[in-house]
Amino acid sequence: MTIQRHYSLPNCKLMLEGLSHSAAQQVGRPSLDVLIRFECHLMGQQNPLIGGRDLLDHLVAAVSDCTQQWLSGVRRSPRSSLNGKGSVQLLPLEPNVFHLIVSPALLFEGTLADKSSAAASTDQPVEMTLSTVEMFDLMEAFDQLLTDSQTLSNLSLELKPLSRRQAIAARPLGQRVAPLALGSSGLAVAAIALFFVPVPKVQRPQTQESTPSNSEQPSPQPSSGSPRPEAQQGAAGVSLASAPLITAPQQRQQLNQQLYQQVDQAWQTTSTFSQDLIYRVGVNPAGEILGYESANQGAADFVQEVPLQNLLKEATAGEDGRNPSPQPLAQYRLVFKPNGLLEVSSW
Amino acid sequence: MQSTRPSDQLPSVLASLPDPEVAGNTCPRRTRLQIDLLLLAVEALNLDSSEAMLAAIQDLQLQDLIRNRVVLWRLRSTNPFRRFSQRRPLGIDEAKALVAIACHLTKQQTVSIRQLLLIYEQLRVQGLSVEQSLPLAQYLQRFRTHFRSRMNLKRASIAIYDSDQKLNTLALKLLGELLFCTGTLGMQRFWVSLFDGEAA
Repeated sequence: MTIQRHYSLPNCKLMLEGLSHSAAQQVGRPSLDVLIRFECHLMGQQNPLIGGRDLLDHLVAAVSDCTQQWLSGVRRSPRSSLNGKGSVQLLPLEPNVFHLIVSPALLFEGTLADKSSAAASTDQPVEMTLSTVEMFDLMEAFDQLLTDSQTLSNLSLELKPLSRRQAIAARPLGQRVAPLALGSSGLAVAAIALFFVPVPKVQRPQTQESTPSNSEQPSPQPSSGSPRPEAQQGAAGVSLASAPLITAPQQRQQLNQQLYQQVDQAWQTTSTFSQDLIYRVGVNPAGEILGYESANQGAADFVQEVPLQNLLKEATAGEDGRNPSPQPLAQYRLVFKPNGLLEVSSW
Repeated sequence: MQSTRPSDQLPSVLASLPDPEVAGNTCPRRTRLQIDLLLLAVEALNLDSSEAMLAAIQDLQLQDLIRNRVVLWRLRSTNPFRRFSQRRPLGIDEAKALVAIACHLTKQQTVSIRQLLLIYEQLRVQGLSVEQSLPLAQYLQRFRTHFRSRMNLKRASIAIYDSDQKLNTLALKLLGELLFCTGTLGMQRFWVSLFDGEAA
């Protein structure tokens, strides 16, 4: 004996037709256990949706998902087809409009074409829009069916909230990529901005050159030990101004030659400057350069190109280990010319 | 103390609502906001709703959770976007009680909710303004007034509702939610949706 069950709401009627497992005639309502035919009549639609258990299962899942998404406002990723045969999509379009798409594979053949015009093709999915009230009636009809223990008691519905991870996975790709894009473009902007910032010049620690400065120039009479406070660019070694001088002409001549030779040998780099670089150089009686100062702006700017820094010798420490005794210095004017010539003359 | 008692002693109406797996057993921000907004819509629907809420507490045997109207106000004020928001958590059981009250009142108003939505649908199809219908316009007007007097309009999430038009849209969405709450499984569906994207 077939059993029919109807669930009626103003905008939606469900009809289920099926068989009962219990053979004996029961008192009251028999239970409907096997579904043969399922019909869903929606108000304002020409044709009802007619199908079997597949259609019912898909519709129940789609209605439930759509309701939850609409209530919470949290998107969820569409369910994959329950058994690969087809799908039912139900999505909230606008605040009060829902869109239902049922693929024809779920519908009984011929149920669509029989009433509609001849042009109707069974390959086309069935589409319809529902208002909030129609959507509610559809949901309510299914909820009454779900809570009816005498109809398809094996049909159940699991209501549970989306997990954090599922909610994130369901966001559109654009939304998920946005933070990444924002971060990387921010990095690019920062990199471009920093590109225009000049590279900071490496400043050699002043202590090496100026603090124990006097100790370096054992020359005539280096201003014993007082660190040079106004460390001038292009200058290193002991302070020349305060050093005692070597005045013996013969010794000066010899030191002049020594200075020329050691600088000439050491100056191997190709010059990039275009003006004469003039330095005041102090030499101790042993011929070692104990200090120098640039005498023009070019000399200060291009001090890295001349070998003075490498040739600079540290003044020997004095007895107390800190302040060397002032050494007499012979002072020279050393000129590096752009064409590679070197000139040494008395200061 | 009431909120910590074992769930088997909960009033029967709350037993049908599952416990969500959320951190700390307290409600996330969106949950608190949504519950309060739904209650706001209920109030906009019914002029006597504050008395009706107290009556619902008696009907649903929720006196142990919500003893008086002050407690009810404090629970609703856990909504972080209220003007006078209470910095206290909203326990799961307390949230269930608020949802039960809202759904209880909603079911009493089923007919008028449905009518308002049908009117709105007609106006929408005809392209007419919602002000054309007196009952609908009254509901929207009351909702806007309640919303503006109770919410902290300086908060960014609330400041987006800066026009009548946007508040009407929110009120109509909430009216639809109220309709869904009247359903057979409406309360369970609404409850579960409150924790969408928040569960572990």
